[in-house]
Amino acid sequence: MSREAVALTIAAATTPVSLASLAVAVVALIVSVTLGISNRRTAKRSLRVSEQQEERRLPQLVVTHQRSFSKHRVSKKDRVLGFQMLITNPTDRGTAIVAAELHLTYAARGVVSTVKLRHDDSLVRGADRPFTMPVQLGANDAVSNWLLFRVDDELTGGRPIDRYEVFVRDVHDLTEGVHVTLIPEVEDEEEEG
Amino acid sequence: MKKRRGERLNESLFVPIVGDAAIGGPVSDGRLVPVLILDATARPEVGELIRVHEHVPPGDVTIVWGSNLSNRDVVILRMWFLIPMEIEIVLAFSIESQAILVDSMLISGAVYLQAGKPGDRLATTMDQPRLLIELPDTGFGPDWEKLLLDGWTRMFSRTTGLPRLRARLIAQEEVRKMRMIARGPKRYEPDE
Repeated sequence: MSREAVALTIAAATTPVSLASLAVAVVALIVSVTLGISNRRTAKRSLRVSEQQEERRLPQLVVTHQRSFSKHRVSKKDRVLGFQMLITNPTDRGTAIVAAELHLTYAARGVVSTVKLRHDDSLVRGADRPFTMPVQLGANDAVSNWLLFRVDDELTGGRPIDRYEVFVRDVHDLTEGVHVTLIPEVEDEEEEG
Repeated sequence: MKKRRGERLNESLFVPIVGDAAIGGPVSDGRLVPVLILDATARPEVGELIRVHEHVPPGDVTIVWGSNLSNRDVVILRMWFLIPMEIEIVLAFSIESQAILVDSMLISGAVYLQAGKPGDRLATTMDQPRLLIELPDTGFGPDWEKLLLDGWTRMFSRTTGLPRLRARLIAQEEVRKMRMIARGPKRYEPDE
């Protein structure tokens, strides 16, 4: 390129119009980068909110033991164990409780054995209101009621029971349980009558 | 025959069968239901499971029949008990010597399990607890027919020296006789 051509090019580049264009381009670049950074932050926040919402939809059960009793029925040679349970669904998704079990752990023949008993709502008596499966549990809902189990006097062959655990299972196959340590003995009014 | 799927089983799951018998009665339309006396010495929880069953409502069990891929004479019954106790039991049967047990179990759709020791007989242990298990149809029947006939054909061919075709005819006849025994005695129905 000749010296005159170079001089003309530099002169053209430094005219007021060119400087204005350059300034506009720089401003546009700054605005674009700023908007980009802001959008990225917004997108990250939205993703976090979305993930938290999704987490609240994952199945979850919270089981709390409130009260219990043990009632020996001499004539029937068995014992009725009752556990009042508060079952909470802290998620945004409904569920249903489909099964409840009592696990009794004891030592027999040199091994630790665990017997599972199913909840029996036919054992209802008096003011006891037992759960009747299935139990509907809506989103962010809770329900409290009794789980009742019949334990034959000879179930453990006279061996002491080392551990009582109550489990509930929901329709998503999620199982939660509590370990119960104290079960007060109550009189059986029918036996007394 | 279904596609074979091999799985190596833990030997500790196997419970030896030390005696067998059959009980007829109201269960399974009067057919003879086999009683298997199991040696629970190494698996005391099996004895406890059988004892506990007398004191709880009917439980849950899943069963699977299979064959031993490395020993053509052996048929396997795998049982997963869930309620009232979580226990897995595997029973092995010899086709040559215990086919009547497998056949009776498949025909009657049930089996009694009793805990015991070698030498025990049903007649001398009638007061022992016994666990009645319903065996649903899992589709093993056709496989069993083939395993039984092939197994007894091999056995008769080996013991008599007869050619395979003759041995197969004998095997078929012996299977027929075995099944007459498994069906139990004909009920007496007096004329009206």
